[in-house]
Amino acid sequence: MAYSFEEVLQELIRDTGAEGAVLVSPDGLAIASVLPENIDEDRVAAMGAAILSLGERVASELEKGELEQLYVKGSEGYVIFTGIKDFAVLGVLAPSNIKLGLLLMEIKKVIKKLEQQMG
Amino acid sequence: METLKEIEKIIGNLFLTTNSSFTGLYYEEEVVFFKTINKEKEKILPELISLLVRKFIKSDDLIGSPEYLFTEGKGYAIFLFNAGDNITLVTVIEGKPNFSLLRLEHDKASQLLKGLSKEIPSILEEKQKEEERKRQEELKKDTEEHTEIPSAKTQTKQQKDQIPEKQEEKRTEKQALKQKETTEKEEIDEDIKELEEIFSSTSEETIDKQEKESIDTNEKVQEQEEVIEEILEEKQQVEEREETPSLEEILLSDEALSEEVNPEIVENIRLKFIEGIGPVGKILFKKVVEKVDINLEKPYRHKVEELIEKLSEEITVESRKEDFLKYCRDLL
Repeated sequence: MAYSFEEVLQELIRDTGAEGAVLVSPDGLAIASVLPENIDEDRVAAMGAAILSLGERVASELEKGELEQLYVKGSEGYVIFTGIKDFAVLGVLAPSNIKLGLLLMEIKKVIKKLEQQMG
Repeated sequence: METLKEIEKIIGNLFLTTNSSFTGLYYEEEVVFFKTINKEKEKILPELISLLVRKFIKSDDLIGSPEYLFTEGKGYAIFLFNAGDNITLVTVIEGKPNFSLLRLEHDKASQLLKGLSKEIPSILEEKQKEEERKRQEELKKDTEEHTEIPSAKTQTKQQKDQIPEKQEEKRTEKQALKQKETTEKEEIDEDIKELEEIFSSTSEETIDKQEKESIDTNEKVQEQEEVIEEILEEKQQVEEREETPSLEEILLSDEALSEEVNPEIVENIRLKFIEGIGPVGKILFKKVVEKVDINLEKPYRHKVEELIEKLSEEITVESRKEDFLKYCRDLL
């Protein structure tokens, strides 16, 4: 099962030019990851869990539903987190010169695949 | 002041052009100014967003210095934009967001803020001071409400209102007491009369007759003597009661004898106390006033002295306490 998740992540990286991807459980633990050597999967997972939970707190205060997607742009690139129903969160690291529109579209496709895999 | 107006204008404009439900300017993680349509969430929303801002600022270890954060769910989005110089612009959209427009408008606003960024920390400082002052006032209000300490004016008014009632009560009490005493006196007088009659009748009888009387009669006399003693004792007590003033009368006369102090002196004592103990002194002063039960509009010397003593007990720093006591002594 872990292998198949990693395969999906590999495919996403190959198709979009992203630097890495990680699949994180709702409690912030990494399920599967394909990341550059210098990036620790726990660091990405923890960052995603923290920002998402804060965003969700704001959303719940506004009486809105769950967050679907979150992206942070930094001087060196993007980190994009997308919810996969209640099962997990997909985190993608991308360089700052990436075509964001294209990346977001590819992420949507991958999410559908992962949703099917997770049942 | 001018800078704040300028900031209000920029944020107001951003609020309108992005059609947001919340737009705010944060310095580091503190909100400087915000506009929102959620009036009932004016307190909680900026605080919650400040947590998100903090996380956003600190997310630089993974992707370098953060530029913006965009997050969306069904029918809403949150956008954080780093405007430089530790300033973050935040917009919350309730509806379908236009990400490109958000970026463009925030970029424009951040350009306008560039010239004002140096003054933002001082604006925040002033705002925090103002909030602290308000918080103190609220705390003071809460304390007053919870301890149910009426204000000096209300207290005085209540006291004034109660005076005629109290006087009426006193009058009624005095009348009742007098009536009781008169009844008692009459009863005792009657008893004495009866006893005198008995004695007189006894003295008229001859000694022979008396001797003939049974021992029972002697015993009766003895009993009557005891009763007389009791009655006399009662009479003496009533006389004493007539002579001794009531406790209320004593207190009233003491108060009347007590020297009245200028209320301004008490006000000066209050100010000195607050100076010695800090802003919390205002609350403590009221508590001590209530404990001492002093009339601030008509303070008597002995009450003022008691007030000073109790207040000085609240000052923990010895040198300040001495200074306070010396000041009060000089005043009096």
